Amino acid sequence: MIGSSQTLNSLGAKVVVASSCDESHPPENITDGNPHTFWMSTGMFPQEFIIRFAEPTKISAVTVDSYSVKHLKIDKNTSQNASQFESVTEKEFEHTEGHLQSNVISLNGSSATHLRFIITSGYDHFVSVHRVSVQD
Amino acid sequence: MTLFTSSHPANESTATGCTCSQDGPIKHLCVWLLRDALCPCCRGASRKTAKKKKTKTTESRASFSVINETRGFIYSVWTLSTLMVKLRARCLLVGDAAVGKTALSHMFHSDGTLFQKNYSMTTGVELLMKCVNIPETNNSVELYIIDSAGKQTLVEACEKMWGELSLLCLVFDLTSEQSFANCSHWMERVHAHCHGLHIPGVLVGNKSDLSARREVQVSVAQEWAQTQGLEYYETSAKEMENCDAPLLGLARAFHSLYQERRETIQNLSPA
Repeated sequence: MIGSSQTLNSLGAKVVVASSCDESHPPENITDGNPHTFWMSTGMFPQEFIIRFAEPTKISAVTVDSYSVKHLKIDKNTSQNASQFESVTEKEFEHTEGHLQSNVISLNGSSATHLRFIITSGYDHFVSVHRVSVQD
Repeated sequence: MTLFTSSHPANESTATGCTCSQDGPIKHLCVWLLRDALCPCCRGASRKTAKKKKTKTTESRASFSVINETRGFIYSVWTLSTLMVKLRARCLLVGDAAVGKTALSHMFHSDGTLFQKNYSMTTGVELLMKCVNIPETNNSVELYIIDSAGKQTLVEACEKMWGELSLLCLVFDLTSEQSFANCSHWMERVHAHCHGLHIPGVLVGNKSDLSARREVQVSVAQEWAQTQGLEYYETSAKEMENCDAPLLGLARAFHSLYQERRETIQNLSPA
């Protein structure tokens, strides 16, 4: 499966922290591979969620399908715990209306056990993340 | 289906008191429909259930499944309506110095038990948090109230601490024409700060107890508020009049905005 895109659930990856929770749009919707289900922030910035992989995973890029996200930062670590993150990259997303944003973000093939996604600002009060998938 | 994993009303203990009418008409109806036993809180409904039981024995299997389907549908509506959301909003409280911003926020925060008689000027930014329940839902809004100094010379330093705002509460003194006139400057500053993001807001005329010294008429304030897209309120922090209304209004506005956005996102097409 070289260079292919995989849903996070199939890799045994899970969202272990999320800064917002609407019970009808839970954070598990980020990793289910389905762009029709989503996690939604419930107000204020920054917002963040952390994805844990079952084992250290080499990641060349991640694809983020979202709505109204303006600025995203990605941190990673290689430890068993969701702490001591190092900054990897950040990106300004373009505003879209009526359809989802889809952004590929290069992570340079670095290895990680946790990825932290920090949404520092949005084009609206509320943002949604529909799918995160990784390319190895 | 995660819909059905939350606690089923039929499993809830009803040994003491009335559980269903407390939680509103939808749950009441569900409990009544789902439970073959008597509804614990409403005799009228339990009598109906008894009648239904009688007819059940003579009815065909087809109508049983209709009843079961109806029950299932109503139960899913009930579960959806009881899923909880806690929203968070950063609410900026601004206006000229000494109009009563801090007094208002303390009255709101303390449920009307704390009115500061002595004036002490806010020189920086004070943060107060209060959780507001939205009526007829299980949802709530946590308001982070940023009480920012009104003194002109301090505004610039304070603005750095406003952050990304969700709501605006603009306050003036009903006995000071000048504090009302300055509201347009405050609006400009807030607009510039928000970079084009629209934020729901209210305009509050405070000190309504000083009616003999009133300088700003209701109609004038109301009209200006309308041109700015703000809801207008009059309050008296001193007499505890209407102090909750502006912030409760803002919490409701934020909740409606959330529901609107959620609807929009649900109808989006993939990239």
